[in-house]
Amino acid sequence: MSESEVVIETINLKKLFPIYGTIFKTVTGGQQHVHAVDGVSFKIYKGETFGLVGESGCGKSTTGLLILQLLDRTSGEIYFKGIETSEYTRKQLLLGSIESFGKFLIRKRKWEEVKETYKQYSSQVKLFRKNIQIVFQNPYESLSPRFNVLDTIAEPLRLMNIIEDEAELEKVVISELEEVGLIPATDFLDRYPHELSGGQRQRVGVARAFILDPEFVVADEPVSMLDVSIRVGVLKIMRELTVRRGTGFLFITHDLALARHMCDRIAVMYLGRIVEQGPTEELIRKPLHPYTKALIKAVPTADPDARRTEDLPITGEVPSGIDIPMGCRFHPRCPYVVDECKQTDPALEQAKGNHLVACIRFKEINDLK
Amino acid sequence: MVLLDVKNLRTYFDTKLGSVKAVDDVSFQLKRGEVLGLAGESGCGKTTTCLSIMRMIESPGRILGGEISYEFTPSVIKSYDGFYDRYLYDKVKPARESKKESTLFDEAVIDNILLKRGIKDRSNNLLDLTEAEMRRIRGKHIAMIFQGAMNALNPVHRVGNQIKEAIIIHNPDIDYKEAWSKVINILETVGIDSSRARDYPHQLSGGMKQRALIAMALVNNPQIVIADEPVTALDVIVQSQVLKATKELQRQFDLSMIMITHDLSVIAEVCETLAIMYAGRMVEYGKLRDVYKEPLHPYTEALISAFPSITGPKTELYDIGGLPPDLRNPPSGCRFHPRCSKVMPICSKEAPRTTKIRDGYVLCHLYQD
Repeated sequence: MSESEVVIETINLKKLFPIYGTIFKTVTGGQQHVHAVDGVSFKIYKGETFGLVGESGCGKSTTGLLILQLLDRTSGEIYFKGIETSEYTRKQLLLGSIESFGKFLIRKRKWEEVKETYKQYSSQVKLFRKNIQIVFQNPYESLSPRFNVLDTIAEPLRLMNIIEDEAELEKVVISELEEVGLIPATDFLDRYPHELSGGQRQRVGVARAFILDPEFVVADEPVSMLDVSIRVGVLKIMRELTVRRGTGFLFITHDLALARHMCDRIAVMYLGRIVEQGPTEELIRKPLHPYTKALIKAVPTADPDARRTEDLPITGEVPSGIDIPMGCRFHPRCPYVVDECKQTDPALEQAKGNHLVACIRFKEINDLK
Repeated sequence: MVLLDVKNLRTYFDTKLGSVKAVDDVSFQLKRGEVLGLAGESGCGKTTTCLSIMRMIESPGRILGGEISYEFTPSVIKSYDGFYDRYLYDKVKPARESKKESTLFDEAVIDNILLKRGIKDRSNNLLDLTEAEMRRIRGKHIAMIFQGAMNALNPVHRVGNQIKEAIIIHNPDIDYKEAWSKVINILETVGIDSSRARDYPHQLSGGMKQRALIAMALVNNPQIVIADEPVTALDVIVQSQVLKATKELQRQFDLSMIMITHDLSVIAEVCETLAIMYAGRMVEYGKLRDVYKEPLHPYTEALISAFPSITGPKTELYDIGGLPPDLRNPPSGCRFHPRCSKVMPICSKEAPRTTKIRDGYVLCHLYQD
């Protein structure tokens, strides 16, 4: 895929959450941090579903929120279609407006120009918000109980002043409802969230995210709250919509089997870092990183004849993000650990094509070359 | 040997809008050393079935009928000394000590009690017992591992003390030191270091909390353990560790287990028999391999093909469509017929009868003669 089709690119993205301790610690510089996201870089192309997989606490949800500007990053860069997204934040809007107003006060700028700058900034923010959307995890909490289905889905259109006419608005909402499989759509328009089942609610959530035809959508564990028989329908709708509309899609999940089903490419995260990234089938069939191998082995197989008999190669649980191990952060649990692993922090390197892995011993472990 | 025999169990919840038929005509058997998997969507009555076995259904729920025979019920009543409740025990302690000998009831007394209650035969039906008698069985002979390891432990008591409480309640005569050594033993058996016995629940990780709950259930050497979604809240790697430990303990203690879960792959990993529930009915019951490889009921078939798999070829997931029914007015005839792919005219008119097939049964018109 060509570079022009990159929708989202992150470079060395970091987010540290401070832990508030004693004043003494803060003053003496002993402030501790949880390293939620610690240097994450990836690209998502147009029409592609990118899966972010990892255990709880590995920073996958934080990454999604950072891209959406719902959290401020500590450092790093995020590009939306080649433009640094920090340009689009409200903070920038405010700062830019204050700056130009200041220039007006010292008579360096005319009032018309100040208004123009503000308009420019606010339209930029709006355009960014229009093109970047999210489907939340819990459909029971992410819909307003006081909004009916029509209002919930029409809200983004109203905020963006895209369609003024109410009748027209209703038409658009109905066609969107039909696309997410809430048929007959007219029956659903006047319903409130409590009158809908979990699956129907999540479909409304999907419709709300896709109504503005965004170029990039984040879905944070969209089906983990739904029952198995309902899940498949919602997944299929999301897959269809993203493929048909060419939306870049970030699918965050803890379930590797589900990611395999949904995604074109998968990145596996461990303690705030991507340890392996590659095309789905290649990553599942020939995992290179010892953590990915363990993760795949740990997924229970739905086949009574293929019961796992051997032990998992790794033991213990994920360490806390406060004291990140020196060197490779996986080394305390890694079965292939050597002394060098405790010193060197491995970077993502190319293994084959666009299959990347962060392990200094991946060639020896996998008998490559 | 059949340990637990459930016949035609019916548990309803009375609401203002009519009674919810949560469990309707459920029958199954549990043999010694057998692990039974109970699967189905949420709201299908899996947990209610097991709470009925434990007789822990609270108002507005009630057990309308059926029979739950536990092999050892008569011998448990026989050893019932009437002063089972610990607080009650303390009050009558002086009287007990003066007698010096055990206050076991003799056969005639038990027969008398049973006669008064209108039971002619010494039945082994758990539903005929009084609450005090049932309390003797609960936690000692039939134990339960509760759902949600994160919330099932009391946050203000040390983990060891919570396990000790389970011992003391069932053995009021036990020396506290002896009870503590039992606690240490059981914690080590489930794989928690004995130094963690004096920790509070928040100091343990998710996997350890789940192990502590398993220890609590096993500490009185029960014959039957009911595990309600024991690994649902855990990450895949921890989940596979806990499952492996559970499997080993089951073999070591020769336990009979009922494993409730919505995840069929977990059942495929540990169980020998499988029961599928839908809308309060048990629609298919049989040997795991039979049910898995050649599912008879259309619902079982759909449920199995709705799960994404990590091994094997990538297959299309099956979308069941529709919604689970409202159990206040379940659909006429077969409860699955509105969503069934193999629906026939008779399905909506007549409820299917159980058809015995391959050591189990299936509830479907397709197999009825």
